[in-house]
Amino acid sequence: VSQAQQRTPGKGSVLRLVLAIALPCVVVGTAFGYWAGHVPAARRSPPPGESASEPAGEPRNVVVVGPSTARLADEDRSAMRALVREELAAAKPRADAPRADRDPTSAEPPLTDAQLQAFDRARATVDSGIAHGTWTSENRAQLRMTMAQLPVERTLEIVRPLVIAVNEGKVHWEGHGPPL
Amino acid sequence: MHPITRLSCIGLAAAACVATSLATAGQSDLEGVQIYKSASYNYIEGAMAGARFSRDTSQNIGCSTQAFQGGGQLAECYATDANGVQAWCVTTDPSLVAVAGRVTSTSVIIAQWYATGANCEFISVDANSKDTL
Repeated sequence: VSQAQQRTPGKGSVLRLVLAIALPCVVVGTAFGYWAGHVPAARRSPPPGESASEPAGEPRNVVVVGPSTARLADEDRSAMRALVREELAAAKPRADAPRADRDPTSAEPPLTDAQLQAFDRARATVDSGIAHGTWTSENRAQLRMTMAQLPVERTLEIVRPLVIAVNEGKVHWEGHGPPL
Repeated sequence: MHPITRLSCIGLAAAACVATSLATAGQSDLEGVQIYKSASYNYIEGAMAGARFSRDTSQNIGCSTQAFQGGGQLAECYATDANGVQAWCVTTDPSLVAVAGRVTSTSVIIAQWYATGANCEFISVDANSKDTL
């Protein structure tokens, strides 16, 4: 019997063990409850991404922070770059596109006032020749004075109706040498 | 007839034959200016010398190049045939302008372009022994 009493702890020992565990828990719990009840929420640990510098007690706008930034894998990133490059290339006008697809005047700088006047004079000279059915050396001399002031493509644009009219036999070149 | 006189006549005749042969051996075969117009394209062809020495006064053919102070260049090829029909094309294409600039008094010129347009599409400048004096 005496040996059995030695192996079995007594009631006093059990009570001391319970108190040793329960008392610290009560103390710690009380202290945490006091802190949680008196320290403002803003001063406690702020959520990630939010600043803790807002004044306490003031109404705060609720900001919903989105999910964390999506990260693309290297393969996806390369595919995205390739896609963007393709879209840009498709949107860019091709340098070797047929001329009919492009506006011939869009690439040229706008004419100055003096060039616009020269353009009008040249066109009037050509129109006069076509209206009279003859293209003379005097017409040619007048046209040459204005041609020098114009981009050569504009000159071509002006004389084209005259050339076609001569080829159709509607205008006769009466001078010698080149008509221009 | 005296034998010496007879020999002289024979010699003169032979000399005349030789001279005629030599003269015709290198004779040029100059073509006149040709202008062809269709619904699809226009075409001119002719030798500079042929037009110059033609019996009529209307034939002429040529190409001209022009440069402007702004840097642009323009060329035109034109022709009038024996019937007074005229044809003419212009171009600013640098390669065609370059070819048109090679025309000389012994050149044979060919140019072609669409009938509905004015731009030369083709210019050829050639020189050969048959078409030059």
